[in-house]
Amino acid sequence: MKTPFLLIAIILPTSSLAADEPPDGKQILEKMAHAMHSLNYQGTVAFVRGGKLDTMAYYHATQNNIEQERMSSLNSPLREITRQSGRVSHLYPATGIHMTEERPFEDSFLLNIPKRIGELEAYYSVNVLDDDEKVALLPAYAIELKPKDQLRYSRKIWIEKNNSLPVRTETFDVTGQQVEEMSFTKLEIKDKLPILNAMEQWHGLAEDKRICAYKTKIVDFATAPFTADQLPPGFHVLFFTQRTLKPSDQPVNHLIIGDGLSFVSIYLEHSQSNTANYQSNGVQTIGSVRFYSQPLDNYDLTVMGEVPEETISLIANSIKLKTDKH
Amino acid sequence: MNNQAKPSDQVDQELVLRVQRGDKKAFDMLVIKYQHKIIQLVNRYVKDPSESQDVAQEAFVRAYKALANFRGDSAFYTWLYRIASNTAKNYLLNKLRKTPQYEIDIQDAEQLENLPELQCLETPERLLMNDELLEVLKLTIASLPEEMRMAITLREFDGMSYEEIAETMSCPVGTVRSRIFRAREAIDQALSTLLDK
Amino acid sequence: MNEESKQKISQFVDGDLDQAEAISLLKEMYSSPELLEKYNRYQAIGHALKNDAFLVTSSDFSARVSQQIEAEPTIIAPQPKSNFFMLYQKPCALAASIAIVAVLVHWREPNTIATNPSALLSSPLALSAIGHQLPAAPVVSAPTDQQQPVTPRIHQYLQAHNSSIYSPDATELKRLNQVAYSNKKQP
Repeated sequence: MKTPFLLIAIILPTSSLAADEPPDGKQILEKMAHAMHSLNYQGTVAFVRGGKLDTMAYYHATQNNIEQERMSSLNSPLREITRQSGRVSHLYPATGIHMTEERPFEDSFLLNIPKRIGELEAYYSVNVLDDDEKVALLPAYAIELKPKDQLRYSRKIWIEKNNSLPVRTETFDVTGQQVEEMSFTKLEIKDKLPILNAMEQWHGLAEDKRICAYKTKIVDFATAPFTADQLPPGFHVLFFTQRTLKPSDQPVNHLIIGDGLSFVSIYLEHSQSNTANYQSNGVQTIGSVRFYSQPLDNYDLTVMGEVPEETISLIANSIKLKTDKH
Repeated sequence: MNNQAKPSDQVDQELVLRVQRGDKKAFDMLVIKYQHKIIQLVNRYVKDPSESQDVAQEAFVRAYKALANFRGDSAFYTWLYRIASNTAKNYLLNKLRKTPQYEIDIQDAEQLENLPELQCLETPERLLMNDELLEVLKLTIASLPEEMRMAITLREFDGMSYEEIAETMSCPVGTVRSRIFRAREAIDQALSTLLDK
Repeated sequence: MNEESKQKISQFVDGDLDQAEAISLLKEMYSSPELLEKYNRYQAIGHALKNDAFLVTSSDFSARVSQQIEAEPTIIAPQPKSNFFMLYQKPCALAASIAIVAVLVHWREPNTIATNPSALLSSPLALSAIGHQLPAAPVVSAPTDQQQPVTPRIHQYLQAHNSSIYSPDATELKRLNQVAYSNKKQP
């Protein structure tokens, strides 16, 4: 019986050492990033944005390297959103409207965080604020991602200890005002959850009820009529698409940039005849989103994102039409 | 401030900075400085002095709205020029789309200047007034003393600087200033009766 | 209007005034319709000599533009780090004091949304903050109580930005419905 005794003798000192070491925020976040995509779990999530509350039933399933995330609204208008293989589809059961779009740069409805936390460290400091909080009755770490400059918002993330899943996030603007919140009110980990056919319900509708409103497709940014060469530090090009946004028939150029936590959208489309499609009133706010519009030669440019006004301005400054370059 | 810039560019730089710090009056001064050039530019497309002023007004307002993001990569007037010419082109394109014979989209806005249907938008009264004014202008120039006529001609037709004119006419720069001013004033006095109608 | 002013205008037309004189003259023209009229006429003469056509700017042109600009928000723009702007040598007291007060007001009144410049400047803290010299503050957003309604296009942009968050409202769903039905009718 020597071996078990030795085993215990080895383990105990290690455990007591672990109890004395302060938790490593970076490690906790990396565990979280892994858990989010490798576990099966479901629950109820509340989102608060711009003072508005939205409650959704949440569901994450993974099986044979296929990952599916779904949210169903618990309030009107009823809708279902599904993410699978970089594609997000929306279904409005009441009207039969269905939309799909490619969003390969995103990997979660809850929180986008790079798998390698080191990518964030140039622009955010990672601090463990508390290692004994409770969210939805679950013991959790509270981690702060604090920006090292004034170009991005700070975040607090609560990560439950048993499974390393994020159970709550709060986003703060540069003045410290909270602008967004996500919180699980109920969370269950399951051994297995099925991957559902997101289109099954849509196909189940009578044909005259099935409506495909739009589809987007990925386009090479090198073909865009503009460049974005001098983005603020930490922001880089993630994704580019050209889509039609009614009532205009002209394609709208949509570039998404990000710094690992925040995304900013840049829209460029040909000016309409009465320029009524944009307002240039300085940087404006809707909820947690800042946006700014201006004419740029024959185009209307709009920049929007959950970032400070200065960042919006700097990004708008960095957009140059290719015809300007000689 | 770029000390190598021409004095006119330095004025623009200073005024743009003031606008970007919240001084709207500084933009009014930029409008005063460039209003004639911009109306002139727009009129090359629009060919109607009254509509040209409206389109030029829109161009200045667009420029104001965009000025927060003016980076100084080009001279202010170059930047303003581009905004004004695009505003004029857009105006024309929209106007043509409303005209039945132009239901086909016009792909190249550069062709707009040469469309015959757009070249005669002057009213008969305006054309007559224009002829009268030009007649008085030519007669006045012809009647100016030789040195004043030469100074204004070298300035307006040949685009020479005061220093170059001084060298050409072998006189001090101050004399050139004075001659050009007196020539302009003489023309203005002669035209005032017609222009004030 | 004296001869000296008229001659200055003539020189200004030819770019012959130095920076200080030019700005001074522009200020005078701004407040004197007579001087402005003279400037417009000198320019019209030059244009006519070159183009055989008279094009006189109407006397109220700049006033009309000014009136339209008056309705626009005041620009307070971030100054990029370039030689042209040299902002760190010419700090803006007003914008800087807004930046300082934004921090101080939040500290004192954490629930205040520090995006309304007028509210900030009326704060008692603003009085002690004004006069501090710092680099220019970022673009100040339009005061929230004066924001114009957001256009439908901006709503569409929001949805495209993050469709899981910004869902179409009932009006937009109805429009999508109409659009989708018309798409369906196309071969």
